[in-house]
Amino acid sequence: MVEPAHSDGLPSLLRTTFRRSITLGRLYLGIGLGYSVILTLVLGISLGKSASGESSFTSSIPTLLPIFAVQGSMGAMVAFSNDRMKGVFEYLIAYGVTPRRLFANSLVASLGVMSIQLGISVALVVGLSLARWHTVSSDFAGLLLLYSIPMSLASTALACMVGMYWTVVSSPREGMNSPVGLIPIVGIAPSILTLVVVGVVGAAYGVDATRVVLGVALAAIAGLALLLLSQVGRLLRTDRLLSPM
Amino acid sequence: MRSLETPSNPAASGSHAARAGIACRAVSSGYAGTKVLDDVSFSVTEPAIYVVLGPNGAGKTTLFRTIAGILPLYSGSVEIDGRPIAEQGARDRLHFLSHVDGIPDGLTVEEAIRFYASVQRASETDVERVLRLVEIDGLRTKFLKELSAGQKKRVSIARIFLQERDYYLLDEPTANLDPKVAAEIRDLVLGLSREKVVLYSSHNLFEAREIGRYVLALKAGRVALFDRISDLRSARFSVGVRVLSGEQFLPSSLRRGDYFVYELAGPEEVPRLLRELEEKGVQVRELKEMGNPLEDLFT
Repeated sequence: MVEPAHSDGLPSLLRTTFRRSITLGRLYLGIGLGYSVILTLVLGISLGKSASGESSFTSSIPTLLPIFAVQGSMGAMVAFSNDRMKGVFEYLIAYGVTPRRLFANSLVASLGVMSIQLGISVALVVGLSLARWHTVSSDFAGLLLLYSIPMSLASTALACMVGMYWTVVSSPREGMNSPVGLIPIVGIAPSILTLVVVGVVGAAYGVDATRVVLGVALAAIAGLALLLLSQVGRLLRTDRLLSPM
Repeated sequence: MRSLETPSNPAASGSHAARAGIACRAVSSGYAGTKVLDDVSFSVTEPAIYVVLGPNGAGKTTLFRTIAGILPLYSGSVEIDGRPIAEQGARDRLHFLSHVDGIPDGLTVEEAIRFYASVQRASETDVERVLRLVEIDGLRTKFLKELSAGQKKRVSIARIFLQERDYYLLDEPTANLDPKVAAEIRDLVLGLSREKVVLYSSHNLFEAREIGRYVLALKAGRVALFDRISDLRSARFSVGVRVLSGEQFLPSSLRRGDYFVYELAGPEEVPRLLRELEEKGVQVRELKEMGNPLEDLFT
């Protein structure tokens, strides 16, 4: 496998993929970031300065952040899909870059872009909480650290891998019915489904039960993502990464 | 004539003697288990342009992708200078230019060239040299979506000049280009072929005849012919006659633009034709062969 040299100032493959994921996915990044900022501000300002307002804010916002984080990470999928269509993969494979490395580049770039967006969102949420209620409760911090961040990572990884597999097994096409158009739905579905189940279970069994639901959901999504990761070699064949003739 | 090795050429220099060349032996390959190339064998060693011809679906692009190590072999072997193509050392002897541009979206021209350089482990100096060589120096800061088709092709082809390698696989490098850009690219490729082995696919038979020394014709995934282009003879020999005066003595049914086209049995009939024209009082300004023997490969 070629490890591109970049000691003399030339860019590495991963750095280029990451940059292009931001450039090509700036619309997705803007939408994801925009929604999370607007929702945070609306909720933070509309909820009262009372303890119940703080409780509502700190229990709801962390469960919503993964939805927007996945949305913002789609640039890597756009780059992956474009690179297949336009023969970039063909070029890279001819010069010794393996499909496994192409897959890993896109996955890492996707998680990197998501981390930027999530970092901004978390900073805003924590900042708003401090400004409005002058505190960051341990429950709030725990939910951010143990649910928002890992769920965002797992959902993004799942969406990215499903998107890449989908791209390579389908005929090359662009638009809303392409993997790029549909994958955000796959990405946000686990988080939304979790929220629905949390609502039902919370109403029936109380707050403690919702934490179990969050834990189980996180484990299930992470498990699915790891399962897909283990199938890279079998599912990503070079002949599926080539541009149409 | 059908031969599986570079047809002998006594005039060729001996500098390539040490090269084992590109050797395909009983190669079968394709996509998702569907065979496109079937039992393809040939080898090339002599520096020259080898034009790969064939109708759509004959397997030209598949052949290039297989030699470049992109497609897995179902059977047979591909070796570059005696090393299997699966080895990085073999790949490092090749340049491959796909029929699609292979330019990453979202980059400027300079960034795209630097990206290629990083993949090929070329240097900053090579980047600067190539930007000037293919005349895209002035486009450095342009994003690729702002470029014309010809400019994109220049950016695409730039990557094969980043480093000198012994073997070049060029899949339709002049397709969809205006004649001026196509001619410039042909000139660059012709420059390469003095010392390098260039496999070049094209649908333009006149271009193929103009630049190619050998033709490798594919039909239905198999090698139909491998020969020197100059040794090919048309099944029909046609000549065009442009006249200075006396065109009223010639049948208008033979007129094709400025020429009157005659179908002859072979070049040996040309003196007879000239005599007949003279006897009719026709003054000939120009006489040229109109057919292209490569056309017969498509029939």
